[in-house]
Amino acid sequence: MKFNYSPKDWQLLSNYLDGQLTNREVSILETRLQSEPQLKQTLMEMQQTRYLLQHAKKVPVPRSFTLTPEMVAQIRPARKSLFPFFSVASVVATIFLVVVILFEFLPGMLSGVQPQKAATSNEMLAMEAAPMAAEAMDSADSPQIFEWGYPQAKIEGGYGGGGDMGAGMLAAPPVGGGIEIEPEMPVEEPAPAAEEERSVSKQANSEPITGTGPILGIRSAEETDAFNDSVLNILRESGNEPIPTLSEPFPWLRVIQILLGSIAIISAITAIILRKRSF
Amino acid sequence: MDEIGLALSAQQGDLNAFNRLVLEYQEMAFNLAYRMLGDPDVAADATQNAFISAYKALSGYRGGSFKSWVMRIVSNTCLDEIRRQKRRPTTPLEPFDPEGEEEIESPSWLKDDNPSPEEVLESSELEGAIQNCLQSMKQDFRLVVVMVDIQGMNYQEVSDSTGLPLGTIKSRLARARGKLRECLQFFRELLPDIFRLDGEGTQ
Repeated sequence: MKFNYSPKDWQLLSNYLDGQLTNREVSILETRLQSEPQLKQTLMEMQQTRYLLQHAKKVPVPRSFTLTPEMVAQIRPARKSLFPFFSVASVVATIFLVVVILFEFLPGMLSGVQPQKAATSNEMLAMEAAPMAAEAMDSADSPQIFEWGYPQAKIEGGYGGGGDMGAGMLAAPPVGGGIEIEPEMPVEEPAPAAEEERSVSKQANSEPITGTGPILGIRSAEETDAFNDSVLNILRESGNEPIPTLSEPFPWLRVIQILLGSIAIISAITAIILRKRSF
Repeated sequence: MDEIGLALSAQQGDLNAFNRLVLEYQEMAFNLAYRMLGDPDVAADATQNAFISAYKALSGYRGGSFKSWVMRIVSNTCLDEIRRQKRRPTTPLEPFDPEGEEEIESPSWLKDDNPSPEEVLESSELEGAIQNCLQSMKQDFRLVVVMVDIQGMNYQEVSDSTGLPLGTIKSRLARARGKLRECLQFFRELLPDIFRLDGEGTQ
């Protein structure tokens, strides 16, 4: 009959048979044995199995296994174990690997990286500033003029491809594929809201805008000059300095790290295998 | 017998000292090999190879229990042999009588140990049942249960011989005993009366 006991119960019964339980565990188990006849039955069966095995017939030795001098003469001496060599090699490779990794991150050793980083940052700064400088130089030659004083043109012709958009196409020539509308065509009355917007727009654009404005992003003349000077200075300085190439400072360092890591892993595995095989 | 002294003498090249150790442990070694491999001839070869390996590796003996050390060599030799058999399975040849040109069904008939035929029958069947059950379980479990229950080694010796922690020894032994309990129940009718499990009687 099979009873479903957990592996823990099996181990408990087995240890109980061999006297491997503590007094407390023994008392707990014996209490259980009194209340669980199936567990007691299982224990008895295990006990009988153990008894059978303990009294299994000892097989007589078929011959003597002693070694004769002739046999010993044929035995080649065991090769010296390579375990110490591989274990030491693994440790040494690991130490060298750590040293090489530290070498990479030591600031003093990486002096070649510092100017490169500085040059790179200068270069990036210059690249960022270049369009702004060009813009500034353009503005210095021919200042930008914003003419906002012709709202009627925008209203009357600026919408372009509207086709039959209505009033805006009446006076201005059609631009962008608009269809010419006959003057006799009745004009739709604009909505009150649109009329109001148009009046505000007329009022706002009646005079040209001058000076600075946060919305348009136009700098004052003084600010523009100062900015231009600073950018030109940066460009001049960076143009005088030689820009180092973007190659790694120690390309061979990575190769050495990989080699050392491989040696450490391989020799460690070999040492473990040799250790297991050695008796 | 001072086994450590003998082992140290053997390390110095004293073959007689080594052979005294062989005589001391050869029965245990052969029985372990036989229970592990299930074939007396293969077990004998494995035992001989194990002692040769032990002699070659004497320089690696660092003191302690020589019994555990040599049983470890024997168990490793048996496990190597099991792995080799799995890689290259062989078919045993039937015993052949060259005079009568007839096959002998089983050479065990030739044995005469003098006990009564009934005892021989019972004993051989019981032995067969035990050996079948041992062969049906995994070698890791088999090794532990053979060492503890058949060879009578204690847990610490088994741990030293196998290199396994005590907890693993205990759990493997419990599982092996559980499997053997089921397996031997299957062979219940073959067991002698004194060993028969009294399942029906107790219920």
